[in-house]
Amino acid sequence: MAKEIGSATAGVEGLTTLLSSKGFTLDCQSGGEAPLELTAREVQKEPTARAGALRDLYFQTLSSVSLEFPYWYTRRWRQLEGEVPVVRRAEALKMAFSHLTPTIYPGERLVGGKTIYYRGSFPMPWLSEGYFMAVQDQLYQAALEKGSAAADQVTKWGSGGGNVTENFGSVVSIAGKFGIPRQEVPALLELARAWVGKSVDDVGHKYEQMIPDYPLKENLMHSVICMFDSGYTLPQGREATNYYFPLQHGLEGVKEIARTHISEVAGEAGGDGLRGMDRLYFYQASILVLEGIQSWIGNYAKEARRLQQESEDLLLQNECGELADSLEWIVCRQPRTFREALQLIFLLHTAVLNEDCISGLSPGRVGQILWPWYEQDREAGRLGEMEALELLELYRVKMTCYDCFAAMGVVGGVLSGNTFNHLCLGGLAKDGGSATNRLEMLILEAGMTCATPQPTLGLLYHERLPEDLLLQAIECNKTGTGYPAWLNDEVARTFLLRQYGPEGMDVEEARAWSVGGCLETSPGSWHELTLGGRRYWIPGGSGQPTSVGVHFLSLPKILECVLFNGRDMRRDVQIFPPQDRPLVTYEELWDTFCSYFEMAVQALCRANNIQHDIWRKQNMPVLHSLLKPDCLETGYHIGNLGYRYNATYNVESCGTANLVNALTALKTCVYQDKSHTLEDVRQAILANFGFQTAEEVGSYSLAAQALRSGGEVWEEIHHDLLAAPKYGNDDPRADTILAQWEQYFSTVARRFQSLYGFPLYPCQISVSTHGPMGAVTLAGPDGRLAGTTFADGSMSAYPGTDRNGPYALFASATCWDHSRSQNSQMNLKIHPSAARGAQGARKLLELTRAYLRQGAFHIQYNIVDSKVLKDAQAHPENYRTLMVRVAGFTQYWVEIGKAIQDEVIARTEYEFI
Amino acid sequence: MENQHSDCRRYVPVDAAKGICRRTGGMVNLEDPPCRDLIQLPKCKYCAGFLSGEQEELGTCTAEADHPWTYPELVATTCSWFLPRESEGKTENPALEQNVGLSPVKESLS
Repeated sequence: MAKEIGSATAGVEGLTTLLSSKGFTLDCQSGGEAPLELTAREVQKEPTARAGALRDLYFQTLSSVSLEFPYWYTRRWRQLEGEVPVVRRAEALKMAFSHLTPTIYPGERLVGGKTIYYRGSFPMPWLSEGYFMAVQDQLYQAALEKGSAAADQVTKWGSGGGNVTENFGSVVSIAGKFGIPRQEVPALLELARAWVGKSVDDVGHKYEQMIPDYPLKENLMHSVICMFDSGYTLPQGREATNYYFPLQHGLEGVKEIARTHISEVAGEAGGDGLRGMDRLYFYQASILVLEGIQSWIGNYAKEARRLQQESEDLLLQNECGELADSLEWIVCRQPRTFREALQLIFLLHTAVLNEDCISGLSPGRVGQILWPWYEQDREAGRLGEMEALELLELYRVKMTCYDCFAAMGVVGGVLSGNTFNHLCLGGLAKDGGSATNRLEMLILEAGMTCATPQPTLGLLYHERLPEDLLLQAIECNKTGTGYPAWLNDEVARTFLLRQYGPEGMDVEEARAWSVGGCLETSPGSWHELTLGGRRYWIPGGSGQPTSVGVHFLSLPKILECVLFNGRDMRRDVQIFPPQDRPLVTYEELWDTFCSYFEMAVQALCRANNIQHDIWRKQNMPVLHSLLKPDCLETGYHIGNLGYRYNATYNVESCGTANLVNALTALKTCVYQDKSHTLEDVRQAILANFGFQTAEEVGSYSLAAQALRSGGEVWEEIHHDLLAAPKYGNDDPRADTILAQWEQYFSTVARRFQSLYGFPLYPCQISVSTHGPMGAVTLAGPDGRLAGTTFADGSMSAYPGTDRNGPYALFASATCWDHSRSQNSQMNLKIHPSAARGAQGARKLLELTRAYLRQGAFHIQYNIVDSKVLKDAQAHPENYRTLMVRVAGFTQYWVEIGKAIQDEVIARTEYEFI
Repeated sequence: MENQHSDCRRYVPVDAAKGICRRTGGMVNLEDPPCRDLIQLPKCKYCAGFLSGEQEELGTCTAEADHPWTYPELVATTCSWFLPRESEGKTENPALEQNVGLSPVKESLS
C-alpha cells in the first residue's frame, strides 16, 4: 500500500493527492508499512569518556577561519620575486607551517590541526581571491558593526550545526558557512588584494578565454549545466594519499634521500630535455617543505612540554610528557609505536590538506598501513585493544574537525560541508589473499562507538573476506551512520587495469587500490616496509587527483536544452547552437542530446585543462608530490608527471535516473504511443505541469509540490509522463535506455584528453549537486517538477518510482558493465525494523551480496526511519548528532541544505528486505 | 586597545567566537574582558616591532627588513622577530627555543 511522501501547501491540492485520485501513487514506502511510532536505530554505542568529551567539544564548535597560514605564506611569497616557482612555493609553505600556532585541547592524545582553531580552515587566495574582492564592502560593513556576543546569541550556535550562517557578536559570517573574528576582516581583504591578477583563478581565466568555445563554457557555468571549475577550486583530492616514505624513513630520512638526489641531478638533464633540469629544484623544494613540517610538529612538541611544566596535576603532566616524547621522536625518525605512527599519519594528512585546497583526500587502507606497529605493540604487550580503540576514536574526532575552505558555491552547493576522507577496509593483499586484519575490526568498532562523519569507511568487498568482518560491517551499517559503503573489489580492479594498464599497472598493483573521496576508484601501489626486523607490504595511493576535469554535468538540463533548441528557458539565454531539427524520431532526439553533451564536454575540458596547467606551473604540491610514488625517486613533481598513474581526469555526471526516465517517457508517450506531441510536452514543461514553483511551496521534493489554480489542464499529460516506465523496476523499456546511455558515456568520455594527454573516463556520483542542479532545471519529461531535486547518485532510483522491491532495482542497475566507469552509486534507505536483529543482519548482508555479485560497483545504506528525518527537519535543535548518508558521504543532518534534506526524506524507504 | 580573553596564554582558541580557559576549564567568549590572572600571549600588537596602521586592524612589522604589513591580532608565539615591547635589545623571539608569553600582564603591558 502506498503512502504519500509529503504534504502539499495548505489549501492547495498536492501532487500525491491528485495522483491518488487517479489510482496512481508515488510510493515512499516499499515492501510493507513502517511502524507508526518513531523507530530509533538498533545499534547505538558510545565512545570512551575522553573521546566523547572531545567529540562534544566539536559539537559546540563553529566552523572558523584563521589567517595565520595565508598570512605567512603570502608574506614570504612576496619576498621571493624571481625565485624558481617550485622553490618559491616551498619557501612560502615552509614559512606558513613554521608559524602556525600549535593548540592542544584538554584531553587530547592525538594532536594537530589545520589552524589555531579546533574546526579551522583558511582561504588560499593564491588559488582564488575573486569572492573576497566581490564582497569586500559587505565584509567591511559587517566588521564595523561591533557588538559583544551576548548569551542569547551563544545559545543559537546549535542551529545549523557548526555553520556560521549569519553575523553575530564579534563574528562575521563568510558565505553563510565560516566565521571570522571581525578584527581580522581587514587583514583577510588585504590578503585577497595581494593576489589579484596573480591567483590560479585569475591567470587561468586570462588564458581560458582563448579557447574557441569559451562563450559556450561561460554559458554552461552560468546556467549551472556545469557546477564548477576544478583548477582553482579543488585542484587535488578524490584520491588516496601515501604515508610510506615518512613511515619507513622518518622525515629526516626523507630529507636525506632528497639531499642525495640533489648531488646526482644538479646540472644534469638525465636524458630529459624538458623536465630533467627541474629535478634539482624539486628536491630542494622538498627539503624546504619538510623543514617546515618538522618545525610545525616541533612546535606541538614544545607546546606539550610547556603544558607539562605548567600543570600541577600529575596525571596531566604524564600525559603531556608522553605526548611531547612521541612528537619529539617523530619530528625526525620512524615511529616506534602504533600511537606514534597514527599521530604521524594524521599530521601528514593535515599537512597535505594545508598545502592545497583539497576535498576527498583519503587516508587509504589505514588498518593495513598501520598493521606492523599494531601487531608488534600487541605482541610486546605495549598496547591493549581498548587503548587502540580509544586512539582510533580520537583519530575519528580529529578527522571530523577538518573543514575545507574552497571557492564559494563549492563548499555548500557541492560538498555539503563534507571533506570526504574515505578510509578503506578489506580488499586484497599483494599476493592475492585477503588483506583484512584484526585492526580493521577495531576501526569498524570505533566507527560505531564514536560515530562521526570522518573518516567515512568503505569495505572493498570480495568473496574471500571473513564472515565476522562482513557481519561487523553490517552491524556498523545498522548504527545508521551510512558507513561502511560496500564496494566491489573485482569491478574496481577491472576498471583500473583498463584505465592504467597503458601506464604499466599490472594485476598485482591493481590490488593496492583505494577509494578516494566519495567513491572515486583511485590507483595505488605497494611498498615494502621494514619494522623491528620484519617486512610488510603496505598499500598507498600513487595516482593523481580524480574528479578533476569536467566537474558535474547536469544531464537533465542538457536534455532541456535539446527540447528548446539549445536554449535555457529559465534564463532565456541561448546556450548551445540551435539545431533547428524537428526531432521527429527518438533517434534524432538522442543524436541531438549526444551532440550537445559532447559540445559541453569539449568546452569544459579545454577550459579546465588550462586552469590545471596554470595550477601545476604555479601551485604545484611539493609535500604531496614527494609522498607519492615515484616523485621522490624520479625528481619529477606531480605537474611533471611524477606520479606513477596520471590518467585520472574524468567527466562527472549528475541526474542519470532523471535523464533515463525522461528519455523513456518521451520514447513511450511521444514516439511510440504518440499520446502526446513533443510540442505538448514542451508547453507542459514551461507551465510546470500547472504547479507552483518549488520555492513557492518551500519544498524541493516532487511529492510535496502543489497545483496552481487552473493547473488542472496539464493533469493528463503529467499523469501520462509519470506513469511511463521508470528506471528501477526491472523494466527493459527503461533499462535499455540506461544501457544505451552508459555505453555511450563510457565511450565518448575517452575521446577527450586531459592536459596530461590521457583519455577521460566517466565518474558517476552526484555528491550534493543534485540539489542545486535540480533547483535551476525546469520540469522534465519524466514528470519531475521545476526546481525539485534530482535523484541522487547514478544508480539510485528517483524517489518513489521504484515500486518492485530492491531486487528489481538491482536488476535495472546492473544492466550495464560497471567496470567501464570509475564508479556507480546506489543509495538505499531501509527502515530500521527491516534489518532488526541477527536475522535482519543476515538478510541485509545477503541483499548486499546479491547486488555486488550481479556486477554492481557500490551500495550504501541509510538505515533510518523517515519520520525521524521529518522530525529532525522540524526540530533541528534536538538532532545535533544525527547523521545521514547523502551520496557517497555521511553528514550531520543539521549541516546539509534543505533541498538535500527534502530529497533524503523523499527517498523510497524499504520496509522489508 | 583593551585586553580580551584571547590575549591570554591560558586561552585555548576553539573557534572565532570562543575558547577554553585553562585556569577554570570553562568556555569563555573571545572578546570578553579577561580576569586579573591574565598572562599575556605574544601577539603582533605587543611586539616592539609593530607599528600601528591608519586602520586599527592593520599595521607594519618593522622587525623584518622589508617591513611587511601585519595585523595586531596575529599570534606570535612562533615568530622569530617577536620582541616584547619592554625588552629592548633582544633580536630574536625566544619562542622557538623556550616558553614565551608567560610573563604576567603587569610586567609586559606598558
